[in-house]
Amino acid sequence: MEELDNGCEYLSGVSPVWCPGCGYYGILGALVEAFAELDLPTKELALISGIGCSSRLPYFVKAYGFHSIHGRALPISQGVKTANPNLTVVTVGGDGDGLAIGGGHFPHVARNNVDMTYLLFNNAIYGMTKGQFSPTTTLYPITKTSPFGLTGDAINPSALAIVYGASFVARGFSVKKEHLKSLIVQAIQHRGFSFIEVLSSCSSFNTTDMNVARIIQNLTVIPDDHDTQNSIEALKLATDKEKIHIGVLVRNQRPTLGDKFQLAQQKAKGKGSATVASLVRQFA
Amino acid sequence: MHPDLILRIAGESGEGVITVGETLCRIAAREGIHIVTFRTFPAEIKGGPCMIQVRLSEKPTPYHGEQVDFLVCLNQAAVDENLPDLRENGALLCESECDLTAQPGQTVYKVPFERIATREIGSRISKNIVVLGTLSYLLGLSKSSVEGFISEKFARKGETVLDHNLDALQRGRDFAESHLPKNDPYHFPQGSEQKRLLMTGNEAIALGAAAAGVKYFFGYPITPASEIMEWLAVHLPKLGGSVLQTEDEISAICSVAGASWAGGKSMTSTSGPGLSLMSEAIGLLSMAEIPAVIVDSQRGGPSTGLPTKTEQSDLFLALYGSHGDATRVVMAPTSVSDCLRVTGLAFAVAEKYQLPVIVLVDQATSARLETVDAHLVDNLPQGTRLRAMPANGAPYARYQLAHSPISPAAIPGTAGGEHMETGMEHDELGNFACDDDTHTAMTVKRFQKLAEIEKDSLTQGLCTRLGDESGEIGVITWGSTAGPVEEAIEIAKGMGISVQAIVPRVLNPLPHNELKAFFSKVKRVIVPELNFQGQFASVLRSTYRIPTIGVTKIKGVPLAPSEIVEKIVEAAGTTKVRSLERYGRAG
Repeated sequence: MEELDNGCEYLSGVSPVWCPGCGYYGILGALVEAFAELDLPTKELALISGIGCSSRLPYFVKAYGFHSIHGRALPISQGVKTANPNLTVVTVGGDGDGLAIGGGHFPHVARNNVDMTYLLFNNAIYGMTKGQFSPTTTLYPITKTSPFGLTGDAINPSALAIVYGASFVARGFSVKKEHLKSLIVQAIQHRGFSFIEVLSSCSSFNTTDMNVARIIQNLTVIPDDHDTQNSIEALKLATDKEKIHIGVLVRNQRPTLGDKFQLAQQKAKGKGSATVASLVRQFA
Repeated sequence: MHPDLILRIAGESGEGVITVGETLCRIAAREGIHIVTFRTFPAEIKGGPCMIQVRLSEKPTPYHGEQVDFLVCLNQAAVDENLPDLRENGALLCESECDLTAQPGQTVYKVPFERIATREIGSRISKNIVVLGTLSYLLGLSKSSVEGFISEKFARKGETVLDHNLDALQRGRDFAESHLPKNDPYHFPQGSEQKRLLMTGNEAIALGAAAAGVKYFFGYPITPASEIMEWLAVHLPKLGGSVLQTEDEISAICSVAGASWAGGKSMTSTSGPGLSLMSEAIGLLSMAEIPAVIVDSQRGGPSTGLPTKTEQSDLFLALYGSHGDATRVVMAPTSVSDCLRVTGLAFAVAEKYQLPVIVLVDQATSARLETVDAHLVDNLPQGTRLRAMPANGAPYARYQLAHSPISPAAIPGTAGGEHMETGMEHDELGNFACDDDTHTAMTVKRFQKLAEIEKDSLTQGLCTRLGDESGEIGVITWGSTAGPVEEAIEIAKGMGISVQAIVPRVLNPLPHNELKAFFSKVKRVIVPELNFQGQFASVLRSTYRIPTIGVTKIKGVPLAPSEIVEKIVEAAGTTKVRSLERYGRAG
């Protein structure tokens, strides 16, 4: 575990199972530091994951954690937030979990604008199953299941989030912990669905795609004057082939799923509040 | 006069056939008459043949009836399709143009419905109301009760529409009065003071869920289950709950898992294809120990199969679907009333034991209108989850290994209850642990729940016992096939064959004591069910090592009592039974 400035009180004491040199240590550090900065009570923190290396993260954090099944962390989080709106819901997962098996859920939590934060750890490889290509693999074409080259082009997670209409989209880098922490803080504070793509190197199976030296060389922090309401500009930054832009790409406000549920209840009750007994009478 | 009346109305979808049937049902329910219906749906959105069969009776009846007393056909295709089902002294009311050969004992009434509607009233769509007028007159239903109902129904649509319909109704009655001398023995049954609720199986499930305190519903539209979600979408927000249509069934069941873990009573409903998609998450609910109610309204066949037809072929999927040793409870209601009761029970068991409960209903029951005793709703069990009150400082053991397999649950938000909820094998604290001892202990813990559920007072007395307790021929069935079985036993009794039957409502865990006692008393075990493989029979053979006689059917419609009687007669091994035809009517 890297040195933490603060946030130790959010560590569960269970030691991470990640490989030495894994970028995820940095993400875990940024995450607990963000929790500390926001002073979130652990009892109101729900940390939900699917399957993969990154999805092991909830075990290492003191919170209500849910380690579920491959690709399904987003709908589970949607259910958690629906039933318990007071919770701060943070979902973590990898590029395979979120964009391959679970890719069908991403547009829907985005358009529902569920008030939660989704951190997608993008290491461009399947680490837990030991080195098969993922939907974001590009520069490392020969993997265990692509011995003759990749069969498809890479998905750009931030660009996807923008076109899916996520109300907060950001990109961070596991090595830039302070910057990432600030993104996580803003994402949690954002009311609605907030998405952060976190670039992170897999020290065991793919050090090419997220090569730290190369990323640092090409890294550029999105300037303050970027208009986060302008999704076309955000898309240009997210898809730039020359530079890797990190920072907040999109930020806008619109009603959340919880708001819509409340509205439905108001409208339904507007026609007269009901009890089970009154519902029975309509069958008489 | 018969104590009951089996009425069938058939025509083209969109002609208002179903409306005529349902209107008669609503009038009858108000008059305290018991009703069971059966209806068919074309797979198309517009057009195609459809029919509704209504059995009206003075006493409760389990089945919509086999041979039709009074048949109404709005076109030639309906006559061709349905006339063979008309009883030998039955009555047929049909469009004048129809060409047919009735049997000598049958009465035929021909009415130019189309002409009356288009020429005299000037509106083709009022044809079904003309039919209602003629039919209600022939059945001896008072003019005031039909008019009263129509007035109520069309009041909102304005005076012109109402007058139009009352005119159509009157013309239908007038035609009957002046042209159709009553020549058949069939009448609307006698009513009683006791007004009854009238609802479909899907409505009963939704109402039962509301009464059991469901707070969140997540689902994906699918025939024939969609009406459960549609009803809750309208009404659950009034009770402070929420309904969300998700992007697929996987999202639905996973949202249920999340909402339930976070403390809200949650459910989903689907049909076979959806249950297939939910299988993996059912394992998660089992492993992570999360309560959930999953309703499967079974339709026909694998894959897309027969979306609008009924079958009981998801039993294996419900019992065994999902990898690994995954626990779940499976329940099957036998009727619409039972849908209410079993849905309530499903929540009680799911919440108490923290596991998934699958309710297996079928298309025929989902769509069937039936009269229901209003008091049923008041007596539904309210399930509560055992909550953890974590002590200060002590680590909270989410999956505590103790005498009871039910571990107190800390709902997110509870101070000191932070834990891992997980689908990975875990120790008591919820930390991943893949060693053999832990996996064994935790698997035993999860399955101990089923053993306790079998003995729980919640699940006692849930077997329906039918027939003669000394009968040597035993019939065991599940779900809606209980209806035709009940009727078949009555027919067999009339033929001098003594039969007893048992219908468990909980299919996993099976009520072993009751079933073993039953099997020890009978010499033959007949298992009627609506699937090809004889799925329930297979479960019984492997569980109890008994030979079974299957009665299976995959024609998309319920078993007819006569099909079951045939096997009973065969099993009785005697030819000295009286003619089946004489006892065609039961109960």
